[in-house]
Amino acid sequence: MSEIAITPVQRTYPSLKTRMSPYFKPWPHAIITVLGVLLIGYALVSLFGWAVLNATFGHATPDACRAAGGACWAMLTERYNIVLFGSYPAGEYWRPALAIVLVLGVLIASGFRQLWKPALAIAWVVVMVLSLVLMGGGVLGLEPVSTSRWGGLPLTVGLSAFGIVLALPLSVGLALGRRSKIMVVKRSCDAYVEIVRGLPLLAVLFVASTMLPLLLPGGNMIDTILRAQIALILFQAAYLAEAIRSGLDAVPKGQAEAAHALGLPDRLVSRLVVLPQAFRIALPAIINTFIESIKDTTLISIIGLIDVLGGARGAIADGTWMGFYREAYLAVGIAFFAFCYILSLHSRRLEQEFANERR
Amino acid sequence: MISRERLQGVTFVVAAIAVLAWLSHNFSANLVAKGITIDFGFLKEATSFPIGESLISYSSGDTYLRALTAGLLNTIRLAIAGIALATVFGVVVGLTARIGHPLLTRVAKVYVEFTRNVPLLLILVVCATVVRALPGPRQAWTPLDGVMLSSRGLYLPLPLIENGMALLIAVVLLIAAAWATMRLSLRGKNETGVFPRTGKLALSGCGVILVGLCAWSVSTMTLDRPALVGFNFRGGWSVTPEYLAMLFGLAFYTSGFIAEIVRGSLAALPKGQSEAASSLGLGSFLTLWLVLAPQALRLMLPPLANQYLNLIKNTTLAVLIGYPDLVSVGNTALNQTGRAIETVTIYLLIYLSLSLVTSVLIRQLEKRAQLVKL
Repeated sequence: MSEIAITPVQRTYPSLKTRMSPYFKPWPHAIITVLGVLLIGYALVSLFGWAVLNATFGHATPDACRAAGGACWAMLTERYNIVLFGSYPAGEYWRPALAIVLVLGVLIASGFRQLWKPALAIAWVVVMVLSLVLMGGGVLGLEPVSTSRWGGLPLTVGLSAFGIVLALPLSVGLALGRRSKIMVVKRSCDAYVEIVRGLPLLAVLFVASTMLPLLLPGGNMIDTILRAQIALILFQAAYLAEAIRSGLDAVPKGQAEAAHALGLPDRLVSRLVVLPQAFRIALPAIINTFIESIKDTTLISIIGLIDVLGGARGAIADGTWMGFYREAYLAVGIAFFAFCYILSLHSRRLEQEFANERR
Repeated sequence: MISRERLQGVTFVVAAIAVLAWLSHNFSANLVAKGITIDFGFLKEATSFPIGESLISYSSGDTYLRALTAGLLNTIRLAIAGIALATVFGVVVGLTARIGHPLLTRVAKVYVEFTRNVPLLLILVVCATVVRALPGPRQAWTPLDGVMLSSRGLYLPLPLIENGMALLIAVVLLIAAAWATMRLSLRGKNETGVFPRTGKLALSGCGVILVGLCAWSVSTMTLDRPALVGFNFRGGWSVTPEYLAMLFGLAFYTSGFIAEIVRGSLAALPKGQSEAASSLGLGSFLTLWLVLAPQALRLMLPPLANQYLNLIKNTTLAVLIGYPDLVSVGNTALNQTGRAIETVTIYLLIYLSLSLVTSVLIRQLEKRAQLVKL
């Protein structure tokens, strides 16, 4: 047997000259490069001066901040509690913090297809109950905290995460309903999705906050947070249904036909063959809907709830720290951006993975 | 025997009716218990609140109907301007990637990612804060004589043209005439192969008259420049700081999504199209304008329509900024009258019809784009 020499593939890197050429050729590009470098350099230098050199860190008074002239990070150290936890009792911050960690943990686990097992659904139920108990207290020696004091990050995370998870079953029903052969079902699901997608979320929140108490028995008994949660679920379900429908449409027709030919009843064809594939295809779109819903949660301030952004607005609204809006909004913006950007990277990676599998 | 599908359909209807009946039973019971009646008569009653800005004349004491109409017009005004500005921003950002300069491509990417991953409300709140923190009227920023940007909003000189209405009608008629001539001449060209001379003459006549009219009106027009009187500006054409913040914030946010649509649909075209165009000797602009854009437009329109609809729906965030749009005025009306159900019904009907009208308009546009035969 003759030996086959295996030489490793040499990966060649383009020379510096080749890599730099689009910056300078054709000649107008050189002008853009010079101007761009100058502009970005100037911006970075002034940002550095503001955010680091002239900034005030740690604990400081507003006057000390004004004297320093730069960013007042002290404002965040003094006020982080309002931004993060709203008016939750100060001694109990570990409870919302733990609840957030739990929800984020199970949320991250849900982003991986390998972990899609019945246990995950159970984990969701457990986390929901646990986090509500943690936030509300009243049992296990935890001091009761009324929902009117809930606010900040727990509301943002909880409303968006529970919203998407609880909207999921509804949206699967809607998506399947839109493909139903029964006309009444198809028409009703079509109408629901189209009507909700035609409405602004702000109006839906508003409708929920005024109409829900009137539509349920017992008058005004329903909590504002619950109203917001129901509105978000009903709203997101319509968008999720579209995402799932696109997944359903992408499953080759032969799959269902083959399952039928094997003698599977309709119900099982959907559950065992079509839906799992549709979900896999739709996962990036579902994550994108989730990103939108995280951003959308900021709108709950219309019905008087305080999310992270509301907390930031509150932190600078009182007399002491007025005028330090840059720091507060920058911090909130970075937090939203980081979280949503990681999600969108994950969604893109899944899409790529799927495209590779298909090839 | 009844088929299974039929049975399922009947079950669905029965269940739906049961749920609806339960809800409406609760609804009427609650209405009775709270003594609430549904009555749109309040629309004819007199209001007791002012509105910051309005396209129609409105003052405290007019009817609620007029107040809501003013709010709706503010919404529509913001939506139309926002769509126009967002499209301009979006197309510019979307096309920067085509220049092929790595730095510009990167900047466009950052722009898109930023708008995608930051909540609109945050952008709007920052815009509103920035506009409010602009220098006061006395220290207004004046880049050009008569253009003033301050915490009171943007003031621009307003051209006053004598017989403006007559001029406008004349210009519209001229353009219509030119368009008709163009169509007729093109039809003639299709039949005979040459562009008819009468058509050429008529078109250049139209052009000459149009240029003449413009020159005449520019020479006779006077500019109404805004001037500082007391603590505020008078005269000129102005927009309020809230409108400015809403318009810019909405346009910025939506333009990121539009940029991605523009970039994506151009990138989705087969490479052979641009290669063929450049081998025919077309420059990069003509390639884009004559070959790529008409094809990309067909891909672009459906997602673009979605973004326009989103922008229209997002104008409702004005209530959190203080711009008097429909929801903002409606909420004030609601607080004054307590007519929650009626107000909410008005919101639903109006936003649904706005969405419907927009999607019908876009569908018309799509049909036209489809007519571009390949």
